Amino acid sequence: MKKIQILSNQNKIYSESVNQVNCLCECHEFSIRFVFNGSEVYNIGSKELGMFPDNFLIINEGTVYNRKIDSEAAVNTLSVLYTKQFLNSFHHSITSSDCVLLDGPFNPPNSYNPIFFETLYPLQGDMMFNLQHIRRLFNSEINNDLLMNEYLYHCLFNFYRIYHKEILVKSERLNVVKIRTRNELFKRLNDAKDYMISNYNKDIQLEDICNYACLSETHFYRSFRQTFHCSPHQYIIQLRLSQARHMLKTTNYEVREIVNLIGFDCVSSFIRLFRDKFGVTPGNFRLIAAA
Amino acid sequence: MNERKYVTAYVNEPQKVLKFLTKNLDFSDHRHKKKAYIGKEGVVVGNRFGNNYLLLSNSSPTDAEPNLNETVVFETDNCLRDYHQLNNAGITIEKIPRYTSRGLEVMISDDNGNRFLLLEKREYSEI
Repeated sequence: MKKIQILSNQNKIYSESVNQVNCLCECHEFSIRFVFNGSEVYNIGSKELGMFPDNFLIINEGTVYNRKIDSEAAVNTLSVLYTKQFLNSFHHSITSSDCVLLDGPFNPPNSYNPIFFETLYPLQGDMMFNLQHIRRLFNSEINNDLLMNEYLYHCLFNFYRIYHKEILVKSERLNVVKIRTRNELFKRLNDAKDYMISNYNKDIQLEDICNYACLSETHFYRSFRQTFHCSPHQYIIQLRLSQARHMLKTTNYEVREIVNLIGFDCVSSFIRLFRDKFGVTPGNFRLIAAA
Repeated sequence: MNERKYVTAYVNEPQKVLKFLTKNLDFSDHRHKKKAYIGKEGVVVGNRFGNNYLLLSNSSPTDAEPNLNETVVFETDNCLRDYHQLNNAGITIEKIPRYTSRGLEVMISDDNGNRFLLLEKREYSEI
């Protein structure tokens, strides 16, 4: 099942509920992509990105990608697509000083062509809340173009805030003087992070991650800690706990089953880690979430 | 959202504010709840969630209960939707929607200068 809404300014919202997809596409507009249940895999260049309900992906205009869904239950996805003109205008308004905006209010420079890191971003905070509003309006019978525009504007605004926090701030943490070297190192660390997110429930070894990111183990370990303020092992544990929390909230799986699905070996150590992280046991969390 | 909040707002013309709230913010007249405010005169209005009640009074605040409600805070389940509706209705927007540590909020005012903050509370903590 597919549904598309094209707004008066040509921005679009596209949703799909499918079991099987395997297609090669080119992205004609900058897009933000979400999945609400199950998972969806994107291949961009040599990267494989596994999307889950607690993260989202952006794809720049002109990027060629392959997307794949293979699931018994229908997977619900939603994409928000922004025209180049809208994106440029938004970028101009949010990155320029009032003085520049007053001098050229209607025509952002043509040289603007914001390119963002095509990586997995955490779906949390205001982005998550606003996405719920977008989804509710999109699925309703109400056709309110202006309100949807308001939501999409805020969705992009939320993305810029996340981008600042996840990319700009974190790349600054790397203790590398040369900008080109720092950018390349940060890109490789992000590849490693995406690899961990996409394979969070598998038995992945440090060696696998380093090979994927093309970094030596010591260099990777040291740089990862500098950037993400935790070790790669701790990062994977956080991913697993976050997924467990989502499953506890949205499925009826028993705790034991969830432990297997997220790649933990031991139920008791999972319960201890979950309680340390969230302050409640998985069982109590499920009761609170259901209340 | 479950907690009922009774707030006294000291306004010059309660009937005008009542009209503003019922017309623009889906408030309804709750005269029957007036007994909740023993000893106070005014008009009681309640919001659509049944958790915000407001006594619009034109008497002066007492020393024991100074007028702390220069801006009256209402909770909403969708700040952007309300902002969009109010903006279309020509209501004065004092502050456009902004993100704060407690959620998303927008400030509006009526023709008498009474200010209302619509707050969509958001739980940002992990649990």
